[in-house]
Amino acid sequence: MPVETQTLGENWLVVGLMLVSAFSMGMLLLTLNKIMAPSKPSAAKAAPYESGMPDIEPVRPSYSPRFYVVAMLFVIFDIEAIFIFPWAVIFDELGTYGFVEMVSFIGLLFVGYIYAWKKGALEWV
Amino acid sequence: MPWDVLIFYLIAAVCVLSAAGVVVARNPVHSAIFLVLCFVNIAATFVMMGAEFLAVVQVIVYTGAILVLVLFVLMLVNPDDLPEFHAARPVQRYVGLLLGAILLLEVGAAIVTRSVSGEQGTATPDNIAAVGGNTQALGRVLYSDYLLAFEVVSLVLLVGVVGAIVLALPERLGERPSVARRGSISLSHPRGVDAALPEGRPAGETLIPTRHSTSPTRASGAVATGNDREVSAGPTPTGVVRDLVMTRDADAFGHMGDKR
Repeated sequence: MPVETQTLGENWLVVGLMLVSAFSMGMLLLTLNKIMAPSKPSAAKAAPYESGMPDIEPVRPSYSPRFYVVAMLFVIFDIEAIFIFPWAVIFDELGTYGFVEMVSFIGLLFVGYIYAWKKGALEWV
Repeated sequence: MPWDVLIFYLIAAVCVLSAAGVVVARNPVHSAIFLVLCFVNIAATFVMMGAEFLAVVQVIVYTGAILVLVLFVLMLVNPDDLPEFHAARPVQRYVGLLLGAILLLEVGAAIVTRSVSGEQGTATPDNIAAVGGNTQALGRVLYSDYLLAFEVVSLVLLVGVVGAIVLALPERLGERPSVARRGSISLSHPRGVDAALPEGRPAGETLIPTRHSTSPTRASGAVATGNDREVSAGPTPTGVVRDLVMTRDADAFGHMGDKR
């Protein structure tokens, strides 16, 4: 595979264009919404419940700490995925040796995954 | 001025300003969004230095995962309960200022003297380009020379999984939160069960005895024990006191129909 030395401009111009277009698209839609949509806010519209009893206290939903556990597990398995990227791009060079390395790496984390599963950390309710 | 220098200054300026925004913003959610902007710009500076893999890791791990954690904390914790900066103890402020000054001195010294200690390694830009890029170069080293460290990372992550579950999982295996298990019923929560109040209650809440509170014998019994709660008549296997928690006076309910 020939190695090309690409300059910053060639390589990342596309990424930059994508970022700029995504940002400007979001800004455009929000601005259009601001200009064109009728906006007549009132206290009643801002209330959490349209009708029924007046609020006894500020209504704020309580979230289960389980969501946080899921988020923490996400971080850990995210990092696992990060380690797979450099392994994948040189998989051909590493051969069987690299395969065994990665199987033991993922295998250990699979134990953690089974543990999380059995403990019910992945259940939503 | 060449283009890449101009772009660098733009990125660095946005980065510094958004980092300042993290500290200055009053709303914690705004701080988190500023932090996203700061992390993305740091990733952009990594790209400009030719460290593409690091840039992608920065975006995936910090912007993608860590910021999600921060936002989850903000979602779980009521932002009104977060202490203001000025409410922090003086010791914390002085230590923070001291550490910040030390960090500023370190960075300033490195910039002024333009010297970083240590020898230059073999991972020069030319060597990296010769093997095809950052990711390839990192993979070659990581999966041969630093194999042990790589496998230890797996163990560390495993410990992280176990620790997260042991420390943060609210209920033990198989148990569901139930009214009988919790000590109180709260009107302030949608499902009627206030999991956040196992023992103490925040100020401003008044306990309303659930039954027979006007009965003289019961009332005197409650006074005698110095307890304004009523033990429910139903069988509570764990002996948990069950009562109704309201966040304002009971009178508030009586007037409700009249006022609006």
